[in-house]
Amino acid sequence: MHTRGKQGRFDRYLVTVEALIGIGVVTAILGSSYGPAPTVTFVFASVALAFTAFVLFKMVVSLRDPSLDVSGRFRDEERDRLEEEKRLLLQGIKEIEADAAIGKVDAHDYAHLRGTAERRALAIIHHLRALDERWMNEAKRQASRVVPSSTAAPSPRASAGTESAAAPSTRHALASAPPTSASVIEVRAESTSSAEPSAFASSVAGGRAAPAVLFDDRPITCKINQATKNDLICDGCQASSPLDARFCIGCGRPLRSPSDESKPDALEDR
Amino acid sequence: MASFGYTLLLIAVVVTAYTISMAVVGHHTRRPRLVVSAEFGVYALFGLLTSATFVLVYLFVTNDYSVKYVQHYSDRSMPLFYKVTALWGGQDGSLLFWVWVMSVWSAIAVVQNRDRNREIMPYTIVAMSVVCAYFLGLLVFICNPFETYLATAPTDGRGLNPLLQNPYMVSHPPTLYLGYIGWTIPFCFAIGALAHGKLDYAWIASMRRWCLVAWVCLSVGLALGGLWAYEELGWGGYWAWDPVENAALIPWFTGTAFIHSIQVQERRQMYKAWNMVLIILTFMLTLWGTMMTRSGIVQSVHAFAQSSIGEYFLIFISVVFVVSFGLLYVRRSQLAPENSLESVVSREFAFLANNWVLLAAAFFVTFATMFPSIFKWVKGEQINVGPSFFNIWMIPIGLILLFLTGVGPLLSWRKSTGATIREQFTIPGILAALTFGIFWFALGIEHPAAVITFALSVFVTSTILQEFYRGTRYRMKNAQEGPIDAFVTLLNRASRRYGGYIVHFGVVLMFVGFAGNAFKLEKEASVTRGHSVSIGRFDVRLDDLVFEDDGQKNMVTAKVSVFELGADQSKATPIATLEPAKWAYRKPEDQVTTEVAKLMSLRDDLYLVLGGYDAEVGTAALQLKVNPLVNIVWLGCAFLMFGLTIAIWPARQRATQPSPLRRLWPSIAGSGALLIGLMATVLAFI
Amino acid sequence: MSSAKIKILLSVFVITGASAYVVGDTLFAENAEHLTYFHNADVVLAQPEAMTGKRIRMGGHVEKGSIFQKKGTLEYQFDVRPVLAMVTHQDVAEKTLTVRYKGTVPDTFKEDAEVIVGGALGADGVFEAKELIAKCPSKYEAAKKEAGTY
Repeated sequence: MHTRGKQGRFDRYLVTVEALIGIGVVTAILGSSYGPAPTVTFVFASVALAFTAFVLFKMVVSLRDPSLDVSGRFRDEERDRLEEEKRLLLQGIKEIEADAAIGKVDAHDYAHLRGTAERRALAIIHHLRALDERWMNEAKRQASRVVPSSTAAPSPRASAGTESAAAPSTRHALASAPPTSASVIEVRAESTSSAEPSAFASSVAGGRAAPAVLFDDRPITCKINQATKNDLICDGCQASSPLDARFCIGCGRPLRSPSDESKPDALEDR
Repeated sequence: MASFGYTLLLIAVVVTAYTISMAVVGHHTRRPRLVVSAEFGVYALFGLLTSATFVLVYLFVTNDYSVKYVQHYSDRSMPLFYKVTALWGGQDGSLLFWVWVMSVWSAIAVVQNRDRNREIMPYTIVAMSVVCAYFLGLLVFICNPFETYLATAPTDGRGLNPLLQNPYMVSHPPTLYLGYIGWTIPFCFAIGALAHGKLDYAWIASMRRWCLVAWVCLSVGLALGGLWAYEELGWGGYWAWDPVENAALIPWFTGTAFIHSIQVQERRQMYKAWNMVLIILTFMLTLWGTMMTRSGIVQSVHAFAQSSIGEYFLIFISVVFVVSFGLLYVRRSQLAPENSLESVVSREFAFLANNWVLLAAAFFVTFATMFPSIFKWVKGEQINVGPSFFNIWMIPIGLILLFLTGVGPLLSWRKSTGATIREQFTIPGILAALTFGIFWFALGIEHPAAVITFALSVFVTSTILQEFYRGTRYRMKNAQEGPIDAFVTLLNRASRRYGGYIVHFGVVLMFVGFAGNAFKLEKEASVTRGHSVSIGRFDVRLDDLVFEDDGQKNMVTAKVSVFELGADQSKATPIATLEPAKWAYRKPEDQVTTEVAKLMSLRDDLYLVLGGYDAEVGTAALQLKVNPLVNIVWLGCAFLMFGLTIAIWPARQRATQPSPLRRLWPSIAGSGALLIGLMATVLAFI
Repeated sequence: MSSAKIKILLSVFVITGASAYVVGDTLFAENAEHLTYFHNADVVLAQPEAMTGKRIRMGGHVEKGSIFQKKGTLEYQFDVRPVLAMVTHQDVAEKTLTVRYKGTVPDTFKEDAEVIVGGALGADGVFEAKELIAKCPSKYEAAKKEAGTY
């Protein structure tokens, strides 16, 4: 599926166009003798039938296709969910800001509502970043294993070799490169054995946690709640403060305040 | 060809069974390829049913009267358009159409989620397939549309009743079906989420748009039914609380409650279990509605065949009830709210109140529809309930709902304080009070329900305008935009919110139209050629009676001139000519249709019916009606569609959007096309 | 008991109370003017004295060949015979009752159609109808009623 390049796609277009032309010609010929309405319905019924036959074929074939069982074939579900929740939270924050701006919410509630949403969103952002970092590290590790000579850790895409289209992120490249699919499974096996709750926290702090947990099966809410308790790093002194802190514990510098943030797009909801 | 269609249905049953088992097995043995195979099963079902549906259409267009269904609902003389649409003219065909649409919807839902929501998909597919399997079972075993005459086949069909050969009647059932079936998809996602236990944002996110689509289809379906009644039936109204209409209205209430309360779950992580209850209820009510109209449990002026499928529906509804609520009970701990209701003056509570009121409406309409049956059971006597019975409770419920429409969006999440309430409600409150004063005291209209409706409408409209104004002003200040740019960006960026406001405005308009019913005028008169009769501000003169025959039918037309009376009732200015008519078809069985003539304006409709005539003397018996504000209802419906299109339209990334206007044009074009289509059908049949 | 449980109990109480009120009010209120008793035509035929002057709705089929319309007016007169499936007084099952009606009639009103007339039986034994409902052919089962021919 993913090995097909530009040529394959072009071939498929060609086949589709040819099929359409063929159907058109048949319709025209039949239509001239049987009248348009019966012909059109007949052709529609036949095309639907042909489609059915094709799909039934795929249905049977997919039963014997072990590559479908590799979970990396699909998107990273956890990430999608996090992105979705982040989107909702940011949207909620903007709505609250807009509400406050037109006087619908009073100052105290505004601080509370915004604060909770913000903390949660921040935790998610941290988590997402950590996920990315872990994938990157894993990709580098894989790359260095596949191409032992290169120490400078080339891009995983190049090392995987077969992926021709530009993958949106290393995560996808890793997941969809067929030759490495065996090693993906390997990584999974390795990761499930080393799964432990604090792995995520450690990777937030360091990002170096090399054979990290790729698949963490705990519910998202649990992870987020834990992450909410985690620390925030001050830009100035690198000291860590609780995520809901307004000022840095180390140097007292404001970590963030609602007033100094620009909010030009606050009324956005998607 | 007919037996081929039946074979397709049989294969579809097998494929559905395969799909269900593969999805279940694949999920439990953790073999995704089986689930993938099940997905292809869903596509195959779509292909098979599409083919079967076109086979039935083919039988219609080739006049194959050896097929019972074709013979019952069409004849040779029917135009092609009505032959094709006779597909859903009867019960068996409607069921085929139903399950076909269901297969289309499920195929789309599966394609959308082919690499997303993998955990909840297996059971979502199972739920979809079980629903399909149930309807397929009905088709295969009980009402087979491909059934043929065993002995000699008739050479011509019985034809479709001319009353049903009307564009509204053609579009009304399928739109309703789209709505009904639209609600099935969110229900299936809910079941998928419940079965898997993944109850976070995923299922809400994956079906939010489905809900809106289902909702708009159901709303438009209801409106088309009303338009048909108004245009074709000739009694001058659009809603009579008939059980068949109510059956579609009840799930509309719960569905509306659902699309409101999922917003609370999105923002505040509350009402999670409640949302599940609502979507399950909505789905069950769509089944219930189908059963109610099909089984003859309730008396209706619509003469449905009292078929035996009622009991099968009852069994299926019970299964759905037990399974869904059982799952809900098992998963109850995962559906605990993450926040609690902190104040009664908050948007959460406004949503809750809205839900209660909508559910009360659903409950009452169900109860009142079933009431004659209950009464017969309790007291042993038969009674009839008229619209007035419904109005006792539905008028206050409607008014509370209208009030909440205005209040809800202005309250803040969590709680509203005195200051914010003052800031939000001062202007709308004053305007509403002023309206009430003007109508009640100054104009002396002593019709409480109507005056309150007008006051509340002004209240809600001003809150909406205030929202738009404040939002625009806020953007102008923050983004340094001109007023028009700011306004368009507003619609663009927060399309769900402001689209929602436009929908609310549409609802307000509909309420204003409903209130117009209080000022109806009605008159019956026999008018001789050259004489006139007056009603309200109109003076109607009969100019001529014309008799024609076009071979298919006999037509009697009254040519009528309408004058508008001046303030002193003396000066009359001619404004229009109308031609109410009566057509008598030769086939089937001397069916008479009344061709209503209307003089339409936003202010009112003059509605003329030719009830009878005396050819020798040249007298026409006319029924005259003035229906104030009735067109506002249809206008409101158009706003509703427009607002919803804006709300549904997928947002693109900001980086790729050149200008706000450009980003908005597809939704404007889309709803514009819808509007024009609606207008065109209306105009074509005036 | 937690406050959440109290809230749930309270709302359940309020909801059941309200629905019980609605049900009770409509079911047992004797002055329910919005409810009209519905009788098959045979009930009216069997006991005309008891029915005279009472506002009821009556169901039946329009007798063949009995529809008269005063030319150029909206005044109708027709005979109604009981709906066979619902007959309880067998002795009058074959009889008919004359109905007078003024107003527009629905398109589905014709010979043999099933109708519901609302009004009262007059002292002269003629039913004075204020409303006339004819069963819609609707949507679906347009012709099935007529007969199982073929």
